[in-house]
Amino acid sequence: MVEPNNDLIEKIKQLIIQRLKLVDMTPEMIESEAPLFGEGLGLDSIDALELVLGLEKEFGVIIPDAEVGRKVFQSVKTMAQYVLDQQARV
Amino acid sequence: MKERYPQALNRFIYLFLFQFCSTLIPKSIQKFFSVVVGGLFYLLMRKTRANVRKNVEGIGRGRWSNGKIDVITRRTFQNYGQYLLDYMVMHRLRPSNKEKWVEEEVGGHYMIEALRRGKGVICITPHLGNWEIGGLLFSFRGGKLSVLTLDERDRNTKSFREEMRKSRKIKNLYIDPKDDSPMAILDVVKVLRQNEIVAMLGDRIESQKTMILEFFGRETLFPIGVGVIAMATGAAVLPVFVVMERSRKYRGIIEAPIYFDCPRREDREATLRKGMETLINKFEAYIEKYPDQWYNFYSYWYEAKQSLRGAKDG
Repeated sequence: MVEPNNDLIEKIKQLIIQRLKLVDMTPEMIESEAPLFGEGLGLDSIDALELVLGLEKEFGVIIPDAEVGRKVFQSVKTMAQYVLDQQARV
Repeated sequence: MKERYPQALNRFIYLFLFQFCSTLIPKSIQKFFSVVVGGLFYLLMRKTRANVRKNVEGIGRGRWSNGKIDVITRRTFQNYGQYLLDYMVMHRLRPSNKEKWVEEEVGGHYMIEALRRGKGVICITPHLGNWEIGGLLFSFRGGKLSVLTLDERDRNTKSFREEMRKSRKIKNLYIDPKDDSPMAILDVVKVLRQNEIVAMLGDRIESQKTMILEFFGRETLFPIGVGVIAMATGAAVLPVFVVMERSRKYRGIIEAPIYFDCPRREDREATLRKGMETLINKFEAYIEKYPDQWYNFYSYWYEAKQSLRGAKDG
């Protein structure tokens, strides 16, 4: 399995900051493997849905169901991995 | 999650019994049947009766006499009997015979207004009157409707409900109250993004998404899932009510849309609170007007108090 590169990780972090309007945050402040929800970045349901839409718009990848969503939105790294896997399929 | 309905009121065997009776008994004498059977349940189910009585007291906020509370409590059982009878034969409801069931429908223009926005519509109602009929009325108008519901434990009851809805092209979306993942509502979001209608019940805590709000003058831990979904999707929230009138026919009401738009992240909680307070005001107005059609057979505020205590203790 090909691992996502730093460029993609950086783009995902930018997406999170822009879509969620985290005005006081920079990409460096987001750890790639930290949980997005709960104790990690502390995102909530509204953020989750915003990210679903963001991934679709920016990268053209769709989250087909809740089960996939749970796996994808664990961390920045899992998001990037999903984008990479989906793009490789096209 | 605790079972809220007394098993006797919600299990398939009782649905079957009511289906049997509703098929055999002409509508003209169903009122007598529901009054007698409902009255019987009222007399026999002591604990449930006490629960309903407490709920009625809560609605009255200390302004109603004991006599009035007793009458409303008894009528709640009787009206629920009628609800079950109607529920069993609802598959017979057609646009052509609608007037036998439905006295009036008001507020349709709010639905048109909400759908024009193009971001989907969430219809929300408390456990008041006959909410299932509301779904059928929407389907008659060509609305694409999904019902957000808890998974039914009993297979036969689930299958009965699914078949009834499926025959009218109403889809079921199931929620798992134990699933606290932000992804749990993804299926709902997908439906709303196609500018379709999602119907849900909104006066009981079925998930972890709650907020302390005032409901009938009491601090109550109230479900806010509807607000969260609306905020995330831009969907309009329409409070809807289908209540039985004296004629034993139903009146369908759509109230003005509530929007949860929030451009600034830091305003989310305030926006949610404001929108939910507007919704609760609507719920209170109709529940107060039709207190004997609010079908909660557990002690609503006792459980709300327990949930609130749990939430405060963290």
